[in-house]
Amino acid sequence: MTVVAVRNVIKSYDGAPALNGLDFETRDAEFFVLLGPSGAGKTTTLKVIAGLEDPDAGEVIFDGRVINTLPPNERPVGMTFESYALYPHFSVFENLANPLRAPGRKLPAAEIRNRVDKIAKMLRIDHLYNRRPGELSGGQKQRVSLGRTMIREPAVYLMDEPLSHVDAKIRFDLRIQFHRLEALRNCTSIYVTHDYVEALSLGDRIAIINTGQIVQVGTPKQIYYQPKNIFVARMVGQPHINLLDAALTINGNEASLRIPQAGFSIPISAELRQRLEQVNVPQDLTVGIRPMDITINSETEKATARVRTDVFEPFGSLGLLSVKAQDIYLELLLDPDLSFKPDSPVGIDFRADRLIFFDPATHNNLLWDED
Amino acid sequence: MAEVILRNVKKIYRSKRKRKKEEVLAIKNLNLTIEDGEFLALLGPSGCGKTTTLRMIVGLESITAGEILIDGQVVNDWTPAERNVAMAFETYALYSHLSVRENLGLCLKAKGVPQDDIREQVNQIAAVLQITDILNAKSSGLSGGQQQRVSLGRALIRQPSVTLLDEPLSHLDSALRLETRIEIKRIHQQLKRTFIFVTHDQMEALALSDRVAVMNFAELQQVGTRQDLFETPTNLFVAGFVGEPPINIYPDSTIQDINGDRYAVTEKGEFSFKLSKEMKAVLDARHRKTVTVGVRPQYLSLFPGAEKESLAANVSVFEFLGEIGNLTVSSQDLDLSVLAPPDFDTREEKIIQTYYDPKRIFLFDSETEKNLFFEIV
Repeated sequence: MTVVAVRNVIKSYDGAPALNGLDFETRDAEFFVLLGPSGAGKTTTLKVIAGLEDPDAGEVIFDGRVINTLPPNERPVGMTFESYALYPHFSVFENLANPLRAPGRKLPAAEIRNRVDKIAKMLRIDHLYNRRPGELSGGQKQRVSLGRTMIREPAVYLMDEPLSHVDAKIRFDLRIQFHRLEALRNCTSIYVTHDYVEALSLGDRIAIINTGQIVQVGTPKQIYYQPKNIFVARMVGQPHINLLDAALTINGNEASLRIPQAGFSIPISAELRQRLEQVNVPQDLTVGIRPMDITINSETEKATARVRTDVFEPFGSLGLLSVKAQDIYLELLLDPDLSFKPDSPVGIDFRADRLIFFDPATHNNLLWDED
Repeated sequence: MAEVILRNVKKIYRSKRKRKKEEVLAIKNLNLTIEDGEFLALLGPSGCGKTTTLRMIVGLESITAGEILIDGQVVNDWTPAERNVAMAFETYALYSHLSVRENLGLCLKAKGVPQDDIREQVNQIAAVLQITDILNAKSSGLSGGQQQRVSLGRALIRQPSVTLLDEPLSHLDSALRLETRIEIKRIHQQLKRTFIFVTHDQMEALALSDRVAVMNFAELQQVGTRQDLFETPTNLFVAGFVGEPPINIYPDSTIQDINGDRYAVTEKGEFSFKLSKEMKAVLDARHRKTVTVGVRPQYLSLFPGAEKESLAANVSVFEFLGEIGNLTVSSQDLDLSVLAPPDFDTREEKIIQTYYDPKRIFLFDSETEKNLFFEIV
């Protein structure tokens, strides 16, 4: 039961800034994901919370208490690392039991056994006790590593890219396990990743981090559908959100977005027009539309835009169609069982309620609102 | 015509270690035809023989037995230069002290092509690859993605009859990888030349190629379109290696008759999948009791539609993944992953119906791991 707050933390390494006034607060028992590109300051943030790095300025607060001066071993945190951090010469059992054998703990052997059993069963590694790390698969190593963290029963879990080195199928499986582990779900967890799929799946809330600062904090759906700016919009979603230069055109009662480079206009509703006018949008905009939110209109003549197919790439669950609209390419995600001939005409429509409007100068979402 | 045929190709690596002769079988007995103008992906885990296959086609590896034909001619004894095959490497292999233009024009210069023609051809290929603006830059200063394109350009400029790509996207970050992937497909569509592409990434293989050749343990497992690999995987390996989210697999399932219909029932009776009439006939001819069941999440639906049968299970974990949703349902302790719309709302329900088409339930032999349906066909 712990709320972790990081307040205005500044940290630099040899003059190179890593954290630039980093500021956020988790909720109690929240699974909080830090998502950002490499070099954003994600791992440094975890190290500062764990006490492995001292901040140059700012505070780390657990349940209202500033803990900047508390040594790492007195902080109620458990940290897992990208590189497993297992003892290669110890068996799985010994790796798990080792944190309980720390000097000063002096737990009886039977209790150590009990606690190891409990964690190992939960993580489904109890059949591997006699193996050494070298004899384990990546997924098994990662579960042992997680077990080592869990066995200390920390109040706060700090996890640094725990799934980045396991193959796709194991990652999928472990992601589901992370959802189910009561121990994780009942504690506050701060989970670092650069993979937006992991972030959307696991996070109660996601904090987008860039250049040592928090850009936006929100639920997965808020981050995906209401990004604060273009950086956030491009941080989630594959392929990237389509970004188009647009001009808001008012003609009597009709409002539309003219896309000069693409040679078509997207009509917008009276309600949306009103919202745009309320915030005094500039006439020139950058409009974002996710590849899922552009659809094929089989009645080409009635479609919002007539474009030409470029390439179609069907993969597992979806197919990616790239189309050419005059000077620009747009990307659509469709049913993978469709097929398209290259360079043939096709009609497309836009889900107008999913359009996102950015200021071309500041890159900020013009209709973004904190709540 | 640039058809490539591999006929009974075998490759054994022989080495002497500590005076002991060692033999490693790299390619067992490969028969594969790559059609003129086709884009074929060689897909498999590391060590499966895919790169060896590529190197044998280009002529960097000799073959132990069998024949390789390009344009109908056996090229076993031809040098790489004689084969008119070009290869773009995983590591870009560019000359760092030369400019992009010089890197691209090098092989034409070596052939004695006149300066003006070289200039013209370099400009053309640069336009296709969108690297015109960096033609005068030294290759050492380029980003990974730019180097990759230059490397690709150098392979293409020779106008080879066959272009081979060895994991050309592996060193790019995910955004650039997707962009370059589309670019490569675009180039293939424009040039309509034979492309052979090696990758361990199933999504890349499906996205780019006309057909995928899946390899494992030095053997070709299956060659087919996305649809072939999805709907009719020949064995458990192909079913598991191709497809994401991954296929649900239930070993030790049993075949049971329930109310006159035939079902595959998972080990402890957690899930029962009704089987098609066609499958019933296969089973009658084969007398199987124990099988491995495979069900793709993509072939399960949360809405009644074309899928006629259904099963009830507990809602366990729903993941909003942006473009898709993944619902994990469970029965006792067994999971079933179902592809769902991203905005699917499961908060209200504890038990949910999952719909499926019996024709899309795969059964694999417990021993050989072959798809039972194709064993008799």
